[in-house]
Amino acid sequence: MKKKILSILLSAVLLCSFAACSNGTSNSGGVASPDSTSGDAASGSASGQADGEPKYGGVMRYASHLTIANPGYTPECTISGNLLFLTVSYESLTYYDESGKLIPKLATEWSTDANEPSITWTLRQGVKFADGTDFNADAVKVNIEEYQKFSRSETSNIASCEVVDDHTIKMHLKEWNSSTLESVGFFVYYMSPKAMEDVDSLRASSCGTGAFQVSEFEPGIAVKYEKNENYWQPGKPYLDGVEIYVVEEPTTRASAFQAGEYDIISMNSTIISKQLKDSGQHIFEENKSGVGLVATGLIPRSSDVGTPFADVRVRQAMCYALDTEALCNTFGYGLQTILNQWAVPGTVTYNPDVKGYPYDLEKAKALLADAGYPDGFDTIINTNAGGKDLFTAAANMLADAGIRCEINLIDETAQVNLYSTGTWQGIMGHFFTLAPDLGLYMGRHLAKDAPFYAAGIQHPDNAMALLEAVQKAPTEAEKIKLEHELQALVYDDLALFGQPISVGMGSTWKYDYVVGDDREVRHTFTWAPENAWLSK
Amino acid sequence: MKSKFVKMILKRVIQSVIILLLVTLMVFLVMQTIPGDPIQIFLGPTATKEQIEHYTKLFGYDQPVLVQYGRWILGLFRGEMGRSVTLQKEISEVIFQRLGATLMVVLPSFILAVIFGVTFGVAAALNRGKLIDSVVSFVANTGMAMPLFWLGILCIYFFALKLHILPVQGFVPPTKDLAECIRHLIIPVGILSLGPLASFTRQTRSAMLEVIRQDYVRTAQAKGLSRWDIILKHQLRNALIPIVTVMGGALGHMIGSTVVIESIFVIPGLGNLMITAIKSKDFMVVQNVVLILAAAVCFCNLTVDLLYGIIDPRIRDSK
Repeated sequence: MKKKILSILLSAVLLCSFAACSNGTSNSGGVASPDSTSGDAASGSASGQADGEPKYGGVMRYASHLTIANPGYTPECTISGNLLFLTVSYESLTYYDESGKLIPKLATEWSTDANEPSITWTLRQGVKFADGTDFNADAVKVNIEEYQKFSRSETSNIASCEVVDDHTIKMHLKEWNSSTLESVGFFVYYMSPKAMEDVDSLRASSCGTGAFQVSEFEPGIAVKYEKNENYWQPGKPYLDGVEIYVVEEPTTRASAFQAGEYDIISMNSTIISKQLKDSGQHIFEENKSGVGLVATGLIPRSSDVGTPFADVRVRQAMCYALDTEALCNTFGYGLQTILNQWAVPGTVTYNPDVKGYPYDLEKAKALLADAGYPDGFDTIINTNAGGKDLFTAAANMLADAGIRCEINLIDETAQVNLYSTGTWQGIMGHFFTLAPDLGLYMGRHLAKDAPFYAAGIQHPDNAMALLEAVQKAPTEAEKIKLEHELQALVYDDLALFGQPISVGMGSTWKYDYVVGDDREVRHTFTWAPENAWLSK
Repeated sequence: MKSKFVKMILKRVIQSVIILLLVTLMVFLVMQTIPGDPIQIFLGPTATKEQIEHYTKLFGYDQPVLVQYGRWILGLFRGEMGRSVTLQKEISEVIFQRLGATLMVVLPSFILAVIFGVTFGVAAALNRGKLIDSVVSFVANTGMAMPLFWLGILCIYFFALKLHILPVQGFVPPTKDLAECIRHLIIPVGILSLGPLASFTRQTRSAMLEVIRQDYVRTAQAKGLSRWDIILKHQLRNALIPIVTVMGGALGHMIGSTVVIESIFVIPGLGNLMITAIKSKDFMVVQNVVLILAAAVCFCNLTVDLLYGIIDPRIRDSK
């Protein structure tokens, strides 16, 4: 009898402890969150950022899932995610403003000549590398040549660099390409020529013109930076140091953030981002220009003659059948923006005249009937586990129009393989990087020999001609005009990339005492640690 | 007679080497079949063909599969494990750095599990049918049923986020700050030890119950030996064989479980390294880490065989 009572009591204790784990907010995303207080759930913001004069001192602790193999030798840093680390200790000639336009950084002016062809840069004066070496035209030339040794695509179009004077350098191009300006301007990060003499040491450290330099590097664990006493902006940086920790598990990252172990984090889980937003205790750093963000859409295979998606009407029917607003609201949790083209509204390459495909089931059915599929057809939709819910919902919408999709679940690596080789069947996710340079970024999907999706889509002559015109545009104004035309052609006329759905407008969360960091605001992987300070 | 035992051990060593070679071949072949190019993943989507070719040659991935495997195996005999694509470092250097963190989690967990598991098991067996037996059995069953990941999240919630007495994650080397090191390891070590502790408790209890009824125990009691002498020298020692067997298996399992613990608590150990390497298809790192883990398991099994001989001289001396 005693044993029975004891067993019941012990079971009750266990059940109570399970019940205590749930606290009203869903923990299905796995975040162990403290009791939430009410806040501005709509914006996910806390009481707002601190005002006033910047305070000196303190070390900012940042946690991210991103990592870097070497933070010091920039020609080997080829992945966009590396920019999070590089932009702490290195700088480029130009930067982006909030609309995606290039603005001065290490260069104060530039001019292009499409006929010569060349780009001439006027470099900022009074800038030194962390070891005291001058930043000048010779240093730029040495760095460009180092990048070329690694066959970096950003510098592949430069035939030679002419040092006009200490602060003027002219880059002679092999041929005019409107993408070269941004490629060289933003994606080349300048190292001290003196430090470059010992590349092995440089790999585990840094020597740039940036506000902080690497003091400690543990691969896959953390990169720690300390203030650069030679930084060229007077009075900056405000912080004593920055520490970036690699925390791959999003649940742990969020929990540590909420426990105050980090001041700012990247969050690559939409569900956990929603929980952070709902807590109302943190600030979400929104990327205003969309630059660098990877958007999601659905792309049908159109390259096979005689198949349904080879017909533009069928592709357009697919687009009309998808209620992107519903998909975005359901799976984006208010943290995403709906797209109808390869740009975010309000940015330089966004064409406001692009109509896109607002949800219209009847129109979808009519187009299918017109194309010879009055009873619809069967196809497959490929997705990995992460996109399963979204793509299943999309498949159900398509089924209503008569496009009956079988879900084909594949792993991440197989998905990458499919879009790299362009060998998918049916429909798959279209993952495309938003950037102001459509000639480069859209070109990586649209050109006949492009590295992504190209083998699975059509390459109509008019689209190829317009793409080439964008790439050859002699001036920025002409380029933007042609990019707008390209958006309209590719999406409204040809539906080559199927239906864009949405883009997450950022993934960075911080406490309100973190000020001025600009994290993700201009480019999803960059920030301005030289302006950052902690108001606590 | 002792030479028979030595021969048995040698035979097990040779078997372990063969097992390790088979493991290396299997993991190598599996990594080759997974789609995805480690160089392409490392360089990212903007990589040019020239860059990809340059790094493919640099890492020897342009060689035939068997040549790559052969080079790796020969390198192992020279103490060279190859170079990591993603970390751009010698793998042996990385593994050596990371091994310490893994051992700092596994060894204390194992020791705790052994000490408390055996103690609770003995206590339960000696007090069979009483309250202490029920409590120990209940806790042991619960401990075995709890999934590590869930338990980890629960502990983070209670101890870190609610009570603020322990950190959520991280690792501090003991040479840097011993107190902080211990503080950061309390939850991961506690969680990792719980399952094996429960298993050892049950096994010890079961083995002790078998032994308690034996005639030689009654003889020892009749001879007037003290209670502790009977428990330690006669009961526990005779019960140890199955307990040690379970311990050997559990230690191997714990080494494998560090993958989960290190991911949750951001401990820069071998498990964490392997997860990162799998995701980036850095298969040289995966191969070498699997080899290390497999060697550790073989070592555990070999140690268990040795311990049989120490615990029970009849095994050592048998014809």
